[in-house]
Amino acid sequence: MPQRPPRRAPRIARTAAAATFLALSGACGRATPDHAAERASDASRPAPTNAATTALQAALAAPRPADEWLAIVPALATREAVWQAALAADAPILPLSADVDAAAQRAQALAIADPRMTAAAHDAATGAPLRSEVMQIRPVVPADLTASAEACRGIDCHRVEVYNYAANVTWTAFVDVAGERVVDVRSSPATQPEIPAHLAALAVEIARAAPEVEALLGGRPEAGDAVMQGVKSALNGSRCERSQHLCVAPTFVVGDQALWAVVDLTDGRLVGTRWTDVGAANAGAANGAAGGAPVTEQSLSDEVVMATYCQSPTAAARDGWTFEHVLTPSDGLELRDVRFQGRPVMRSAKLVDWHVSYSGTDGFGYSDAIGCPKFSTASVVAFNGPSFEDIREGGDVVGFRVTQDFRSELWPGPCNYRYAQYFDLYRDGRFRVGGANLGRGCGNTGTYRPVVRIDIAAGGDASGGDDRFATWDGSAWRPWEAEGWHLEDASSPVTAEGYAYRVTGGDGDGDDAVGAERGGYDIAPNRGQLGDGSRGDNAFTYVTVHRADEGDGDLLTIGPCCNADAAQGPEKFMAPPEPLDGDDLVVWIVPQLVNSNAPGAEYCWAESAVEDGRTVARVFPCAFGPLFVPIGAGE
Amino acid sequence: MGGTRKRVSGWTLATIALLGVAVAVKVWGGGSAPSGGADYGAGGGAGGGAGAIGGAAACQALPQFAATLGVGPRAMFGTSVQGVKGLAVVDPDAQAAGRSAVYQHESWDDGGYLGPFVYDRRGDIYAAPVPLVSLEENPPALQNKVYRIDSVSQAMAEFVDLPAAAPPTGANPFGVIGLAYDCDGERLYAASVAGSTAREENGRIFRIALSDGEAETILEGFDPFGVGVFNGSAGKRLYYGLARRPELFSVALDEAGDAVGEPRRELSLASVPNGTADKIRRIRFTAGPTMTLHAYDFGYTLQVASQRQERQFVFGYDAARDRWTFRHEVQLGGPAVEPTAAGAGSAAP
Repeated sequence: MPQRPPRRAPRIARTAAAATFLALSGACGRATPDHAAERASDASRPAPTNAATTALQAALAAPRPADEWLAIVPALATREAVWQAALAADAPILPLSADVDAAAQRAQALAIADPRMTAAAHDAATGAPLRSEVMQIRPVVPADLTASAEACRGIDCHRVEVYNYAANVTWTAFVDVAGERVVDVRSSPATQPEIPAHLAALAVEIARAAPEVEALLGGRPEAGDAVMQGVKSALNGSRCERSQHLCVAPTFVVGDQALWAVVDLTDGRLVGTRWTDVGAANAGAANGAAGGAPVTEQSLSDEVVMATYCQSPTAAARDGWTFEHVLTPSDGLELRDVRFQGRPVMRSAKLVDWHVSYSGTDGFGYSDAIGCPKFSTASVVAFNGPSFEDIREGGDVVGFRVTQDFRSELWPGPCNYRYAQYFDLYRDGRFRVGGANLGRGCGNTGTYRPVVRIDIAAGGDASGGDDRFATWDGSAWRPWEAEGWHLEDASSPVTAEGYAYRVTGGDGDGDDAVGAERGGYDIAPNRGQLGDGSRGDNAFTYVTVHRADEGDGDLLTIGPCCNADAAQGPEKFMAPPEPLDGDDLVVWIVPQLVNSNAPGAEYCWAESAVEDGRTVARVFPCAFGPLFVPIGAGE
Repeated sequence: MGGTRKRVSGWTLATIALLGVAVAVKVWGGGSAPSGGADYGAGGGAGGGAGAIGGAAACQALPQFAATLGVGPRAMFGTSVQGVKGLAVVDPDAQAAGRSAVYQHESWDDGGYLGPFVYDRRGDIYAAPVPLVSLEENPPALQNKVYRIDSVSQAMAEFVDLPAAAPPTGANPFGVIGLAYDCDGERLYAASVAGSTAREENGRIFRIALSDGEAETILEGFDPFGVGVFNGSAGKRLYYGLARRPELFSVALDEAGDAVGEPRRELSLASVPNGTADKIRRIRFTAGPTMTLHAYDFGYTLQVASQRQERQFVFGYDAARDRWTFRHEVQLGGPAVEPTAAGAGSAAP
């Protein structure tokens, strides 16, 4: 076990000046209280609330497939084999095999066999078995004797607690052992029981085996190094308040530091870690942060996302592409200064609004902003930063996709939403700016209209200037003379290659020629031909002259939820329309995606399902976004 | 409902209550003191200074117009009524009696969506705007206001536009997020986070004279949330939650209603049983005296939290020490969480 914590940046110290000012100003009836200074004198120092001023002490675990966890945690693999056998035998309630007396064993057997408990361990709709486990067996105490268990008064009853992992429900059976009967069965939704010793040990094993923990501690800790403060995991629910999984937090104390490892026992994985100070009076604080905020799935996520992705841009380079990315308060993930082979392509690309309209009720809908999880006007927020994945065609890697995910807390529950942004960047210079809706929403009559803003640099000019825009009219490219919009549908003419629009960059001399000197891009609207299961965009395309105050900064709500026409927001910036005579242009794209929950035809939809004894999300995404192809690339 | 209304139909009364910025009180009640969700306590005397121990909002009276509405006995005011922007009266018994279930004066939606509200001894209601999900109805530049609904005429009008320390940004669309009334001084206290950013706390607590709407900053440089006034054994204090930490502070008030001396850290919700990082959005003093803290996960966003739970924590007052001790958490649908025998439940520092 390593003896020293890793190096971390020192905390920012408060100056004494603030306290002096406090005393002076207090006399004037107007004070600037230094709450932080007061905290510093407390035994309990809170977790930092401003990640920008302290070293980031939280980390999210890298996503790994379940098989990988089974491989690195043998105890997890053993347990999974037990689960599989139990599910195959349609006996999904694992008994507590710890050393319990005969009466407790009998109580457990009676509880598990009770039809009410059996029913609780199966999905009501499908009958599928749900992973459930006996967590505790103990004699009933007077505090347990509520009205429904009154029959236990004066007799030898046992309390058997069963946790249903799939439903996040604790079922409690009151068992009259001598009478060989179950007196009562109660459910406690969204409640998690105290976990038994073998699960605490499993949590420690998962934490010890996690590469993140090993890296932070500078070596793999011993099992005995872990402290399991309060195996009673509940924080009025769970440390995993978003996933609603059973989570606990083994802690490794190193000097005056403690590393909290949040472990998900439902999925068998590490969620994340956080260093805290071990305050003298709070070394055992069950919340995890020495008198400050509890360490939870959400607190880890928010801290990491805010500090790493929201405070400042991050540079990225791959496959000939370079850019910066930053999570905005309400415009999603923004890519800035996007270049291919050093040549400017986009000055900015982002998604400013999701307009959600439900046709079943006139005017019913939402304008959702997506963005940072704190200090933002986003209603659907990032749980993590962007991910990078290969794009393959015919088995070959041809580029990569930048994905940014945004979720409501309880997706895929009703009226919870999940959105994704995709930036597909190809090795041949093609690119696609789009995304997907992943359900679920508030109904099955919804139309989603994401508003995408692209400040294009078609001519490779870093200033973005001298862009031209044209529409294919069936025989030639017809230049746009002024700001405007166009609705593309299946009847709109496209070239033989499928291009409907062309944006080019001139040389700045005012020449109106399209397809000009410095090249540009043909734009293939998404009609479902791009291999992602999309049914097409049916998109409004707007072109406006770039103005810094028309979206260079974070745009607040740009338009209403429920307009079915072109009044989606960008039209505000073309009143009256300006001529397009060689300016930097901004291209706005507003696809129209109609959701469906019809069996077999689900689209823009998600629902919960039971698979392998667990609750999983079944997702039917609807992807959108046009493809930009360098002019002449296909020739 | 127009197409510009955001998250309206999707926001149930319960949802917005969970979001934490709204309260609802019964329209009527016996006598002058409101019942239901109203605050109780001592106070109500003329002039400054502390009276008997207790909350300082006991003189609150129901709006005079309430008696003219012809609503049923369960009718309530709310700023979080499903499908309604602004203040409204919801009457669960109305439909059975052939009346509309929701009553709203034509001016009550002029400020967009509203959040905290209190009322005074005359029955005037004071309310602050709070953006819900979208900013179209609640532009950030208009969120640092307090509106007054006249006890007689029902008309809502801007009462005061409070100065922000910095212009609003998309990173913080909120302004006034807490209101409290002090019977003794005929004044409001308004907690504002207008102008704050992720990196900088620029919030203020204002003292607002009801006589003329004159507002003075009494505390600044941090982000306050819920506020409440309490007459304790050592005098009157303003209690305030922090918007960024689950902590409660207080500061002594003089007869003019100004803060005197240094603020005192009262407690942290992270230290109560099943502790939380939730922020204290409302402070309610009731008989006992007890103090109920309403808390939720405020993060300066419009994040939809349709099923996010607000938590309520009850503390008892120790007059000898002028401090508060954790009693229990109000379990909305479950048993109370009691402190352990070892006293670990005490949240007093």
